Amino acid sequence: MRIDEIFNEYDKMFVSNKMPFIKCKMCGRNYYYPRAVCPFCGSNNIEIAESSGTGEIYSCTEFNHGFYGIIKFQEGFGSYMNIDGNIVSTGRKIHVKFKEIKGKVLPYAFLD
Amino acid sequence: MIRGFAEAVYKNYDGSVYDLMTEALEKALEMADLERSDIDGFMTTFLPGVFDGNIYMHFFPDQICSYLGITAKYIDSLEYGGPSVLSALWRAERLIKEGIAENILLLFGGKGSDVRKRKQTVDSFEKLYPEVTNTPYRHLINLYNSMNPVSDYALVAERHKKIYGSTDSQRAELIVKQRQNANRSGYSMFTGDLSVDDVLRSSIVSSPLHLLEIVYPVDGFHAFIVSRKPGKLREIKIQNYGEAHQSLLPPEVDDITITPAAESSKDFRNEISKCDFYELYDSFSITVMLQLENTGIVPAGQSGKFIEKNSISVDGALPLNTGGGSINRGQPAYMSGSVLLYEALLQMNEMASGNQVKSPGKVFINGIGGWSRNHSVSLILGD
Repeated sequence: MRIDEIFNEYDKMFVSNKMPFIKCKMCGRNYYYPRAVCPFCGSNNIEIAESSGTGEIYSCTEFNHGFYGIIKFQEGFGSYMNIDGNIVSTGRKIHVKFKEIKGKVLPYAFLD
Repeated sequence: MIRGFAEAVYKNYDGSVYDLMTEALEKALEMADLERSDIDGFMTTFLPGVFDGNIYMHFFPDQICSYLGITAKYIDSLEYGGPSVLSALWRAERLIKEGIAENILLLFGGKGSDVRKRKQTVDSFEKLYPEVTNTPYRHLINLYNSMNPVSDYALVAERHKKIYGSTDSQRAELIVKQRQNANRSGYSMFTGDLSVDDVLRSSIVSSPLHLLEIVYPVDGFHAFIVSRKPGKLREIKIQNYGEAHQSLLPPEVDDITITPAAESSKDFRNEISKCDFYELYDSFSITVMLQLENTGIVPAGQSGKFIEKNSISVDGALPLNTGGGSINRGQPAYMSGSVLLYEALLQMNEMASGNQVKSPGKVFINGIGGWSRNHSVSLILGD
């Protein structure tokens, strides 16, 4: 899979309000940031899958009256994301929503 | 061995970065009792924005050599931020041992104020140039409202609080104790009384990190001359060395409180505990705490309690960041590695005046940095 194919598929899924991730069919680990080769085992036997879009806040920080954090998703992959909702704190459960951020539809975390 | 070392550091320098590097070089040459024509190796680094605001310079090591009048038979650039200079020292020692060069100049620094005045950091400098992309994951990382690297270290501090119960006061205690070291040293940029309350009352930049827990980017260069023949300085060399480079992004790491410092130090943990003083990278309060734990100086999760209970002064239980660290000396061009090495060399050569470590036999230095603290260099200097 070429890197631009991965990015294009991600963009399509974002527009359809679906949360993508990459599944390594060799080692079974999942990851989010696009690479054509699994960063854990080096295999190129990968596929793009759709996440449940649910997870929890691994860590979070507040600045400029907004929250940013690392989200660990149910499927085991992690990503950076802005977080919306009241009383944001580490350990709380989230689900993703989508919005246009600087001209791109992107997921963000919303407190359950 | 290091035959000359010097710094040219200013809070805000009005002139060009080329003047700063000239000043550092000339001071180091004088200490080494060498001429420019004796320098036959050159090692440096580049970060966007810190060379008079340029996002890049065409073949920059050559341009620097050309400006400084250095004819090198070996040129190198190491680009992983703060710890790069420590790796450069290790590589320079090896190159000299192999007979590839006689006198290698390590020139590290730049002008942090150029970037700071444009309200960006090195990590966010691309925001000024819409056509420039720093990472292939740009929109999956940078379109979000983030404040890297501060927000990234804030996430580590928050996680450390969550899993180990470390407190804001414990981090503030480290800052206060480093300030006390700075006050005693007499050569720090930031001095004066500072209390835990002062730190906790300073504004929260990215929770839980306060303004006074964050290093201040300044202007300056450090020059180190590594030579085959000894000069008038003590003949110290690297005794133990390790470097580690992680390729995963922080969200992909199982435990973000474990940095590559765990890997870079793992082959000589027993030697680390025998050192006489310690210089640990201090971009943020939490950075020092992570290295204390990751290099085995204190058990995982215990750095906060350790700092509360122990003195880090030159005659304390663990002399740490003896000159006050870069938190108090300023961080030239977003890289503290040279500040650590410079302070270690002052101490090892008994040039630290009123703040001298009594028997500076060996020093443990750890540098950590690059994008998302993906790089760590651990080393012990001694005879």
